[in-house]
Amino acid sequence: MNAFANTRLGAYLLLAWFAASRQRELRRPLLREQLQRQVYAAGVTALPVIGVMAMLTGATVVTQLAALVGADSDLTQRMIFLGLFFELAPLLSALVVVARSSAGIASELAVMHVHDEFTTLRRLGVPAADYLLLPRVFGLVIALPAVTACFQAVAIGSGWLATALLEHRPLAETAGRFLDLADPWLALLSLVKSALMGAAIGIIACHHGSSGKGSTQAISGAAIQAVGSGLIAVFVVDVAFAVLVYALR
Amino acid sequence: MSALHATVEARRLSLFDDGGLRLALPLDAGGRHRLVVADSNIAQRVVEALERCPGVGVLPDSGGLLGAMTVAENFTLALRYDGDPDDPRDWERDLESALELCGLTAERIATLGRQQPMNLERTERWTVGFARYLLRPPELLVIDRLFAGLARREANALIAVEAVYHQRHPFRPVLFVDLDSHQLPELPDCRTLTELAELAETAEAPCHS
Repeated sequence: MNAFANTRLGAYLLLAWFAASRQRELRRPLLREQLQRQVYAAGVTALPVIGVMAMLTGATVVTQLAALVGADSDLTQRMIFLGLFFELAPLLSALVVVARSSAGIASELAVMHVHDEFTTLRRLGVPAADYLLLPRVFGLVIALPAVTACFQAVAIGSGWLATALLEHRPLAETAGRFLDLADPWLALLSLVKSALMGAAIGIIACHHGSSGKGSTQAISGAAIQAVGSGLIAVFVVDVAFAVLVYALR
Repeated sequence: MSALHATVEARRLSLFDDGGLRLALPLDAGGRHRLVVADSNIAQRVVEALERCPGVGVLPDSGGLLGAMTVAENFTLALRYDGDPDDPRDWERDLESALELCGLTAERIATLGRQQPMNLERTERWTVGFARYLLRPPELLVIDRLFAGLARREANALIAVEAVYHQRHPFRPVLFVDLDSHQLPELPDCRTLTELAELAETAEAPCHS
């Protein structure tokens, strides 16, 4: 058991268990404030990037599919829903959050570690793990599904608009056809997938940020490892959900 | 050096190593106490052993504040984290009084909250860290290596600030952990002076001054 805990995966799982078992601490006003800051930093400030990416991705994917399969085909609408809405939107949103927040969280914690601020927090009477890790992990669990929902809305909206303009169809007709074929459970599942990706990114970033050697070199090392492992975790969760959906069908 | 550990029993803090008792302090008699150690490594280990005991607060020479936060945010965190959100106590007013007692002017207090600790002078940073212990005194306040690198005038000014603590909390003791140095300033009314090499024999010896 100890040997497993010493592995990287074991450490991630231990941190996940810690976060799950301590989530009630987030009721404290000061932790709630930190949580809101994290949601703002990881979610709200990512929206301009997400918005532009979603608009371009949606328009490109939908027009390519329409050109390839035909805009009035049910297959096109299904592919837009499964490919863009269920797969690409959570994945690209997670990649943006990994690139922006993962390195930020890991290096911020590593800098605190270098300056021995975990000890300072303890001396202030504040449990460092609760104060530093919980808002960051749960901040991403909340922010990533919200960012994904925005991506989905903008991408699908721009896709409909592109189809309507290129094929000279009424926008309502394109939208209605898509909504008829959309599966609400899969829409919900895509947000659950995003939440899990957010948890994985947060846990990995917090682990690498707080477990370094406390030297200046460890700061860049923590950021690199957090981004690398975060990317792998995002794809693992994505594949797991793809397999799940395949099995359920 | 052997492993150090500290215990609190019957309102008395004891510090041991493998050789036995090295320091004993009553926790209900107040006053200043001093522990002089040979080097930084020993000082660090002593402080770590002491702060593992419940009710022991440590104030390092940096003031023990988080660099990424403003002074006001540091205070909010230290004073409100465990507090009841509906507590009607006016912490802001109490804090202003504490900082005034520490010798800061009203104008300085008004601007201090928005500054980050790293932008304060060392003595001011320590004073700010000290003020929070005035509001929430621990059972034993350990002042860690305060005088290293300080001019005599600054050291005397901080000793005068520390005297406020004994006026406000006469039954709460303060332990100064200092490095052995020929420049070490004298502590007025110091009740015990302990040197690491002869701790077991001199734990309750009166202060040489």
